[in-house]
Amino acid sequence: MSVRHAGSLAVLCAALASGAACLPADTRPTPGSMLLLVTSDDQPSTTTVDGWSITVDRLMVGIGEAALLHPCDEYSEAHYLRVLDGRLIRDQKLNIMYGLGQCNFGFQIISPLRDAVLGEGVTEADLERMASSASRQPGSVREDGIAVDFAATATRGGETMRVHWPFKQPTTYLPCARGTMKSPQTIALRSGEDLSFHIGLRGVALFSDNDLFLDDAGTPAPATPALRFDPIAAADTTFGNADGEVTLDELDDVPIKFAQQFGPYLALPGLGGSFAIKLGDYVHVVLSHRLVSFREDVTCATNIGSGRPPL
Amino acid sequence: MTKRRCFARGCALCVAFAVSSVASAAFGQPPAPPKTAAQKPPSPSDTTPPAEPSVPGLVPPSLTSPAEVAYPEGAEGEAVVVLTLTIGRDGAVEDVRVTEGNEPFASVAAAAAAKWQFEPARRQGQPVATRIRFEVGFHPPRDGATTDGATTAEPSAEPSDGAPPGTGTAPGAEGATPIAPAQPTEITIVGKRSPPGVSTLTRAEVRQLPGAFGDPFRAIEALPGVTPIVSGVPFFYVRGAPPGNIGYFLDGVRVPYLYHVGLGPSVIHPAMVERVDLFPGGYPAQFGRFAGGIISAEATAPRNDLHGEGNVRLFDAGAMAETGFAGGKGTALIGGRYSYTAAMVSLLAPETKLDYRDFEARVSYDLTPKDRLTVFTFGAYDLIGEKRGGALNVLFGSEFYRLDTRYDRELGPSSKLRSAVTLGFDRTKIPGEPRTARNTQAQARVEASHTLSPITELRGGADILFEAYRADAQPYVDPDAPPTQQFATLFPPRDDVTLGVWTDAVLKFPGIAVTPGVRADLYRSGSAQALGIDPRIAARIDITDRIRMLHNFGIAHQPPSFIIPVPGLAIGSLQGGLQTSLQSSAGVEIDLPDQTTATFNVFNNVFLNMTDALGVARTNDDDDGAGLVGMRSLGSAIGAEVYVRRKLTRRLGGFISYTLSRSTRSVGQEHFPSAFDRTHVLNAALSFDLGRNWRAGTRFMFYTGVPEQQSKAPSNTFTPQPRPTSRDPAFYRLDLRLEKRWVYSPKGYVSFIIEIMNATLNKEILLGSTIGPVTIPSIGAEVGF
Repeated sequence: MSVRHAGSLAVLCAALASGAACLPADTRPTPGSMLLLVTSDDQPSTTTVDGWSITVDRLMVGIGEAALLHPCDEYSEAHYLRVLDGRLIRDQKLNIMYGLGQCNFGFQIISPLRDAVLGEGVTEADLERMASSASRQPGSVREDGIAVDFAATATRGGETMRVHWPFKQPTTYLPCARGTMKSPQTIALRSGEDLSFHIGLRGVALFSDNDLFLDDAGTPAPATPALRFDPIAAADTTFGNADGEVTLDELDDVPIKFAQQFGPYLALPGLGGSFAIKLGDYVHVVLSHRLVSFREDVTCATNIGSGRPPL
Repeated sequence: MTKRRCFARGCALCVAFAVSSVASAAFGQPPAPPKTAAQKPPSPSDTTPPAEPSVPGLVPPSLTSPAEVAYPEGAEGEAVVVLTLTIGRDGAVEDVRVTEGNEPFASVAAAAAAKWQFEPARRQGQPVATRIRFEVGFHPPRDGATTDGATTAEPSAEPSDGAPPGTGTAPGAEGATPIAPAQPTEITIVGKRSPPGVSTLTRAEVRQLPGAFGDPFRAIEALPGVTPIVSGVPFFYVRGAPPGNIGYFLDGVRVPYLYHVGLGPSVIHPAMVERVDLFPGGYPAQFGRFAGGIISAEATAPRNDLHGEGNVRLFDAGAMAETGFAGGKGTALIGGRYSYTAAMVSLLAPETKLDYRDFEARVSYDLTPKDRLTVFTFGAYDLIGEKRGGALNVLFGSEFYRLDTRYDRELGPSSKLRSAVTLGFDRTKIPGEPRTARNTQAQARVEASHTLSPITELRGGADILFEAYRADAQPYVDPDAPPTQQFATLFPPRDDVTLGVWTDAVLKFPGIAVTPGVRADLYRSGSAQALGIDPRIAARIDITDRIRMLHNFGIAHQPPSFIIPVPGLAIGSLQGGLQTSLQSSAGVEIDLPDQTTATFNVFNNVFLNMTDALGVARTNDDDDGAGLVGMRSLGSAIGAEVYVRRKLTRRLGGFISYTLSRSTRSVGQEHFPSAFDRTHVLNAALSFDLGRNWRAGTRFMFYTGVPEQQSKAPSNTFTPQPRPTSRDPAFYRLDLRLEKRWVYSPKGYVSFIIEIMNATLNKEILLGSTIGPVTIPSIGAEVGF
């Protein structure tokens, strides 16, 4: 082969190489990040206004599926759940999200799937007990499984009561924004900026008084409602089998009007009557409102879902 | 040439041969030259020299050994025996079949012809195997003639008895004059005989197949044993083997995928592809590392005459050109295809970007008549994305490039050696993420073949493959997310090395050809290592000259595979060990009249430790797909195939391909049909020459639906899954093709082609979801020169 031919071939190969395409690089601007952290807000023992000493024995929570809402959802979402032991965690990473702009976000408390990430102190047996048999396929509903597995011991004098409540209902915290629900403000995510928000888990909050109003007249409730256990105990002693353990089924047998003799368990005005018909209904509502709180000035609208992850 | 006489026991032999013009046997024709009328055998009074062969640059074979045939003892009268001789590249007669003739003349002529020696036919200076018709005339000895044993009759230039050129009479005591062989008017070029059980498509045929858009790879879906996933989508199951277990090769170079995105064409320009072989199982030992089937394409042989073709269609344009240099010692080819779908799609969906292109280039140079150096490079690029806020979000992007340098040497008339080095680069953009996974590879291989004797051909080879898998870091993803963790576990960065060695022997006995073989592959991925030993055996048994039995059995190993072949992505570290398949088939091949062939096959494949995420997917799987990728299952596929075919290039050509099969999977204690099990798959095609260079064709495709998706049994229970009570509805589609060609020179033509896949606009139901109608219309022009 002559040098001239070799040169022609070299030119040909170079032309081919230049014509070969390369995949385009990412041209999007660098996003900011939002890190959600979870901390336990329970004390080793908490005393209620009616003299019961509450110790949280178990608070397993399936929490996560965090996502930035449109138009901040161009980068990534953290579509996974963690199962956390709400008694042990201190600034446990929940999810990290990336985005740009004026953003809202959301997350869920929901029964985990078997690919959930286990937090400190959570075992495979815990996950197996809580896991849903649903899938990630569209339309799959997590009606089975346990979203919050709560157990506690209450003592007063020589009396001891136990509580075991495996909540199945999912709760969606969406949207979450700065400020209050009456005047929410989006959260600014700027390029290269890292934000973090701390979610507190407080199991004893399930024994809270109404956190919105004290009476039908709409008297505002204190920012930190009192904790009360007598109506909970009555679910077993008066309406249940008096075996010393209060179950969710026993709570569902307690009329709200009975519970109202103990404290401000009131219907929420504007909803056409008694919102919480049974004490069990009330506890489920309290769960969605009070179990989770933000250390920062962030509030979330809550939706007690049907088991279908909306995010 | 001296005249000599052939004489034995008072008889004489006169030999002549006439051959027929190119009909194209197992390999494709050169790009559609103008048709020439088939030459009739010369009549006794016809002394006009026959026409030139229609294959350019072809020198016919010529007899070099003396021809001796004895007049059978005890026989009487005259006789003509017509033999079909297969002449190898070394000039030896490899096969003799009696086409016409009675006993005892036929046996005598065949036995004698088997010992003859020819100067082989040559095309472009290279010896090629050919099949020729050869007439042997027997004339009884004349009264009073003495016999002095067999003598040799040398064919002479002119017949002395008025017989036409190319024929002659056996020289007897008088009047016998050897005849010089006539110039051949027809030559059938024969390549290597296809192994048993392979389905072959030539480009000439594929051009006429509606719905294939002239693309040999797309035509694969019409072959028996192939089960579509979705109509038009170029991934399929082959005898129960999932898409990730099917290997694609072009001239021995592994190709990561065959088709462009968006129902696009194949990644190799069709003009470069001479033929495509589908090995649904039990493939030769030269192929390995895939536990399903093999699709092997052979590129066109280098040609040093200037030729090429170009085409323009609704969505893309392509061209290919080749020419010679250095006085015919060298050839250079360049080709490619570019899609302007991006521009067109943007008119309909401005936020969507769709783009694909491919290129091929090849340079060959004959260092000596026995030594050839070839450099072959090709590559493809695909992109689907959506524009958001001025930035492009890549939904799928992939590219691959190959550079193959090979040295071919003829060690002798019956020995060949090839050594090659292939460099490759594959890259895929991870959907939805701003990072890529890539694989840089280098392979060295050597292959050799040697004919030890007329009944034994020995073949063997070895190769070493280095692959470096890497992936970019994930900048904007939660690293703790299970999919991210699973990706890192499944596709870790690593360096893989694979060593392979193989050998087989083609043993040809009368009526039986057996090919036993074995290959061994040593895999090393990261810190894991595994050895696969794959025995193979194939047999072809001639029951009669028209009926053959075909048998195949083989074991194949493969590392864990991804759902579909994706450049740059391969499950690493041999997680879960090698997949194993046991593939067996038995069949009958029958030559029917009018050049029609019918094949009936039954097959049984067993898959052990297989990765088939598609096949084992079930409704309530909480593995979210990622876990399914690494899941292992057992699989089996049994079935029967029917393939009746008359070449589509004939005036009226067509085929019927039918597969009846059942494919199942087992995971743990559960046993269920494969998610893409289709009981019946039928393809029927018809191509008709309407005259005046009009050609029309239609193809009907039908297949039954997949089973309703099973629910996964709860863990810790053993619940036999009931047979599914329903399946998705069956699907059918009709493809149409119409072509008008204008021929302006022996190699030049212009064609106008209208083709549509799914002209009936049928929608398909898959797993309860309605898809489509997926239809691909194509209007285009093609130019050949």
